[in-house]
Amino acid sequence: MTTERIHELIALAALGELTESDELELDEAARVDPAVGSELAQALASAAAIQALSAEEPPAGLRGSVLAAVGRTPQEPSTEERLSPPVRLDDVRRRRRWPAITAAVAAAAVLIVGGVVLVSNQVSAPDGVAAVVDASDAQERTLDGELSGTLSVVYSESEGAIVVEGDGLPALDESQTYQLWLVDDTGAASAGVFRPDADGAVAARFDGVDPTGFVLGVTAEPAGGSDSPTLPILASA
Amino acid sequence: MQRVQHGDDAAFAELYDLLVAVVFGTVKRVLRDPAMSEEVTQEVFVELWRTAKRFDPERASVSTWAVTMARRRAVDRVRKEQSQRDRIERAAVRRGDEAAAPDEVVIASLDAQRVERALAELSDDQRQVIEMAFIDGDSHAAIAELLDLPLGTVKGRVRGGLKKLAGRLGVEP
Repeated sequence: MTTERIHELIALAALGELTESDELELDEAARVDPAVGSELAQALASAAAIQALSAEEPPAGLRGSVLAAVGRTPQEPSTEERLSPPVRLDDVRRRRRWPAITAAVAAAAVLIVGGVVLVSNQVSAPDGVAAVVDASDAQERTLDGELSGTLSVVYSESEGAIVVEGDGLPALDESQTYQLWLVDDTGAASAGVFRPDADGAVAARFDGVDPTGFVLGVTAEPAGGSDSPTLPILASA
Repeated sequence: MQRVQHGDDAAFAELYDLLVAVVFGTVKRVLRDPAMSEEVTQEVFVELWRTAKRFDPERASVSTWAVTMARRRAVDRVRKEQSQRDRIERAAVRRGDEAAAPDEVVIASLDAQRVERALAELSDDQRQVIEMAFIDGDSHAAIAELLDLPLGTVKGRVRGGLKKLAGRLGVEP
């Protein structure tokens, strides 16, 4: 990454204008070069000091509604407590690169944010699925491709999770599973594996996955899932 | 903060009292609209609570963390609510209003005086951009348009200005 690009990202971070992919890029730059992290931290602290000049008390009623909302909100686990922490860029790099998928999804860009999810995670309580699907910030993306039936991914930022919903999907024998990938131009990372029921229906929740800025792709893989996708991509969005 | 990280909501109420003015002020500079600013301030505090366990004191102070998130959420709301065009028009109108209501800016503490002095030491070009970005709450695109500068120049001045301020203010990384 050029110095100019790093400086640009630091300015955008202070302005609150980073996109999600910018943010990953900056995290990676700070990891590679601690001086970048240090300048970023100083820039954010300076920007905060100036913005504190505009301090202004809000109406008193806000306190009660904030504390009530907080009372209804569970805290997310710390990074260390997570069972499947988000995969960092360097983890992705350590994995075998998979150029074919880049070709397959052409313009798409790959880092991964979501954790590698265990098969067992697929069996989520119906409540967990509904919480994502019914969330006020739920965003749905429909996957298209050679796969018959319907398949979509619903993401809720507030839930910090995605739900894979499908119907009429082709059955797979016991030796195989579907796997969802987040793809960008640096590679592909697994968001999780899922298997439809006898009717080809699936509704599975995967926590800690943020698909924003990634191309979604589904492949058929050996049971348990793979470290990298096996072509063809059956459906994508 | 450690108590907040252990899920202590009484400690969070204290944190709210400590930070709410800077969070609300930061959000309102960007959004202008008081009701919308209240909503976003609430979103910010809920997010601070929700993600408290991931807060890393080695990377930022609690107030920097809160203000950074406030700015970000306010910008997100702007992006949702209005086109860039509206922003620029409103920013231009606002600059006229500002002189009439100087007491809107609360500058009370010694810290504020230090920040003011450090701002005064920036070059005119840097100070203008830094003040538009962090006191007026303008996006870099709005600043570029208002000053008729390339986007890259505005970002360069933001970064250069902040770097110089960090030196003057002696902010710890």
